[in-house]
Amino acid sequence: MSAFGKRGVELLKEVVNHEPDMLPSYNEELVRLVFSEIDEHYVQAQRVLSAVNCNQQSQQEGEEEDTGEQAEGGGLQDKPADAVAMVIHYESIARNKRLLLSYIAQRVERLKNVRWQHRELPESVAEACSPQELEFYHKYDQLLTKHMSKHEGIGHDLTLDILPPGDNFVAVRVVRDAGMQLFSSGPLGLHEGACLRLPADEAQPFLISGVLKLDNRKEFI
Amino acid sequence: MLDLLHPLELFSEETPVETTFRFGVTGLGKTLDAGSSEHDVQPGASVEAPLWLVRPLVGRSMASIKLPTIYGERYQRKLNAGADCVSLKNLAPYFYEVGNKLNEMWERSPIFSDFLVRTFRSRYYELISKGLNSMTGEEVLLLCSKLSVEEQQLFEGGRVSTVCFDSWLQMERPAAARLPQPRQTRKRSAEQAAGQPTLKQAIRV
Repeated sequence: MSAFGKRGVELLKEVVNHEPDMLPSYNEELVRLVFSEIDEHYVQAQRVLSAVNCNQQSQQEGEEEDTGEQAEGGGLQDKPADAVAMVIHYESIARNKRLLLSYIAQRVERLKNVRWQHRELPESVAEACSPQELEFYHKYDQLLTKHMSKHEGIGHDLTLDILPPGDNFVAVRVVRDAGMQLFSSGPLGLHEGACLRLPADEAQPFLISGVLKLDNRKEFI
Repeated sequence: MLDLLHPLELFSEETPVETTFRFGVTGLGKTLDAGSSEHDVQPGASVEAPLWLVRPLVGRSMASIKLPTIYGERYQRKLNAGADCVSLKNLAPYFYEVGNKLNEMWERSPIFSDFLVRTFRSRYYELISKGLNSMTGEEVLLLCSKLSVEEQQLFEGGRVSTVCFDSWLQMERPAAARLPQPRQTRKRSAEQAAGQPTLKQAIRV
């Protein structure tokens, strides 16, 4: 039998030690090995239990033959070493389950952050997800979109300003051509290299998509 | 105590503790003790087992533990002697978390509780608090090599808040610099031109 829960810890370390904003590839092989360790513990526990039951039965039959009365005992109480083994197997199963749940919780938390920060699932993240995680992301996306929609929800995009803006307007620099775009003040050409002052909420989608970059030069502010 | 699924909680529970099995264990001799050739663990035998496995066994009186060396008398004396005498990063990366759990197993011994609190207090004051106020880059690196994971998190949190506070102060400065300068100089020169005594001259008189 493999060392207790070592693979689960390895799995969890993999996601914790990865960059905070990125998602490492879903390690299907290691997850499978953790499940096989759980199965192994279950089989061993069943074996111990059946051995104890067999012993108990044969002891009872022997005593009934000798005395003619129904005998009691002969279970785990009489074999404390077996009881300890049962506890160890049970705790190992619970530990592996906890490690797997923590692994999944860490990944799900990162997927949620992707939805709030990038609005859509980047291809690099989608490739790192398992089919179940992709399904979770799409359902979470649908729920959040419904919650923010005008007709069924609050009618306000909550992902726009995660941090409160210091000013209504932000100084930005165009880093990628995006042609003519319509703003509340009218149409405006976003040509590479141009420095502009735009309303913070209207600039946010372009900042996320990488068309604009915040300009922190003091003379501009 | 951290969250049930918190990774640091799970990692801290991997700490090995010397455990003596009261009744032995059936069938797990080679798994629990890699060096053993026996199928079962004999009653009274000692092996190193992870903390998560030891807790339920001690709770059921199936095993007893020996305190890890870092919590023993020798290290207690060292830690009492000076906060920076012991580098917890290598010896016990989860010193407080594991210490709390061991203390729970001992039904919260007041002496052990005092030792943990005293160690935290002295190390917080001597290492973390002083490290945040006056230290060069090299000194900070040296300090980080001595801190446990919990202390490291506390130090990082303090460092981030100090940086945020400094940047907030710096943002205030340009605004203050843009304020119109008092017109005293111009006034004074006008007074001088009119032959009237300046404030400095008036004080001298």
